[in-house]
Amino acid sequence: MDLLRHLSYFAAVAEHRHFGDAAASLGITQPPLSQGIQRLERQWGVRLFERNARKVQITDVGVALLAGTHEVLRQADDLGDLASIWTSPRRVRLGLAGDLDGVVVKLVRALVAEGLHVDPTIGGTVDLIERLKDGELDAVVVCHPTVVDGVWAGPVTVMQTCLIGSAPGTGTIALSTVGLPFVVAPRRDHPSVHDQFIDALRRHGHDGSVIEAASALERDAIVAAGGGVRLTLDPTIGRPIREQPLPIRVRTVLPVESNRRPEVDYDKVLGAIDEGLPR
Amino acid sequence: MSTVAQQLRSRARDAGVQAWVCASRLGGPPAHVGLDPDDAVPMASLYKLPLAYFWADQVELGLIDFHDRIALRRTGRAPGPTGISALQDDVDISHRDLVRLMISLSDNAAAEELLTRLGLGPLAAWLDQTQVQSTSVRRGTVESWQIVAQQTGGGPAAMAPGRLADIDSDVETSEYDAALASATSAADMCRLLAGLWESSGAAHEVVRDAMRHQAWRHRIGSGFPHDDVLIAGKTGTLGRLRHEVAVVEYPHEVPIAVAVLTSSARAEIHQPAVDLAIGELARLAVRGLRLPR
Repeated sequence: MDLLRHLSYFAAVAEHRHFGDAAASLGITQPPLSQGIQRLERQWGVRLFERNARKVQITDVGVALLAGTHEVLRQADDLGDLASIWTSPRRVRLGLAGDLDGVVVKLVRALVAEGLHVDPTIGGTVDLIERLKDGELDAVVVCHPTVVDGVWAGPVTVMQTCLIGSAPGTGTIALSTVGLPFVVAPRRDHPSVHDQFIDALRRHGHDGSVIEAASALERDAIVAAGGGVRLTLDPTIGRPIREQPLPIRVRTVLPVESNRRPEVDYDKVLGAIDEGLPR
Repeated sequence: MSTVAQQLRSRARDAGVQAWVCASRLGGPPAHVGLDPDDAVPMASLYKLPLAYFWADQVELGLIDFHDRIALRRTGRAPGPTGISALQDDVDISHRDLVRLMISLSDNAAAEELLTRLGLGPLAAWLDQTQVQSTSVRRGTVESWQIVAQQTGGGPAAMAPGRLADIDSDVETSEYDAALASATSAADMCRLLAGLWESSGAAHEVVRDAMRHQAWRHRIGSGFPHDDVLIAGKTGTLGRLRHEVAVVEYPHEVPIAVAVLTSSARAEIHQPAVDLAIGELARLAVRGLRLPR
């Protein structure tokens, strides 16, 4: 029997508790769905559902087998995804550090302009590098400094920043006059970057207080509410900071050569990323 | 409940360092813990410890009298911030006092003098016949910094530390490569400490006493802020590399050797947060090994 197909029927009925709805969700009619469930029950020698006049109820056995069923279906999906990587060689699974708001779109566009298909993932620097090492990603653009053992790490690009959320105006602002905390990504995402940032704040006259918020949207909202200030890489929406004490430093990290996929043109990826970063 | 290795890995991640740790009880039923304890790591000034241990063995074999005097001229002296390196004029000193300075102050001038007298070759042969498979002393501090200077734009060795501390780039040097620099492993360091602590010569006691009087206690010692706990330690620092190896002696307990080797993501010269993390890594490694004597 086609076990995967029958498992997907089982999962659909368990989810919808209604044969008609389950059939609709699978894009089939009800009779083959009912037959499929019966065939599975006969194959396993168990009853998965109690069918009475009003509703479909999953049995204890059904509940016990459902987790395993979802697991098998999920793994089949993953296998499919993996297979599709091999069929679309220009597909680049790209990781981008979550504190690079303002740069992400440019980077992805630069890669697309080179004819690459990009599967973008946003995450914390340390986690993205772990995922790269695990083979889940092909290239990541992350903040420096961070531990880069077991990977190839490119040169550091230093990008100047401007300040959003301080007193209105367009002129250069001195850090020592900023009384609000800085709204930043969680420390956990990149402990070294975080600690170095606070040290730099204090060195240049800010008291070093920060508010951690997990998403760029959340950080924007806090700044908009007047709860803090933040850095931006976009000079058109922020004020320059005197002495430029808070640059964002990034590097592209790739797997070590022996772990790279032959289908990916890593040189092209590196070149496109370099093009896409503001200076 | 996480394992010690998991706790160590998690603390290292939090501190922004890659860490290699080994702790081993020097007595009682054998017990040890570690995090990548067998990986080869460039050792920075930790080489002064096997050098001192080799010296002590030579003394106990009757090949050196540790009362013998050594003259260190003021010219051609190895540079450094401490000990004879920091002095301006000629010095006349005994062998054992030289070792005292090399270990308790990480005195570069003292180390260069001893390394020249004992020889890299004989040191390597001595290391070969100990249990330490991953330890190679390839050069002294002076040559190390000269290499770093050459590889980072040339000029005098004094420029090298500043170059490694550049936060806007990832400065590379072969002195960060365990295959090319003097290197050791955390487990090897614990083995050396175990051997040193078992040795019964007067010269070995000179080395142990020097370690007990290391002039700073901010690394491993920061994990044991107790006035009655002795930390007999030796630090090693070069650029991103911040290490310490020590024997921790709680009163009336079996001594425990602990080695914490780290490489930090940040390049700055002053990193108190890493020093504190080293203390905590040592504390996490040691606590499960404590045993009353």
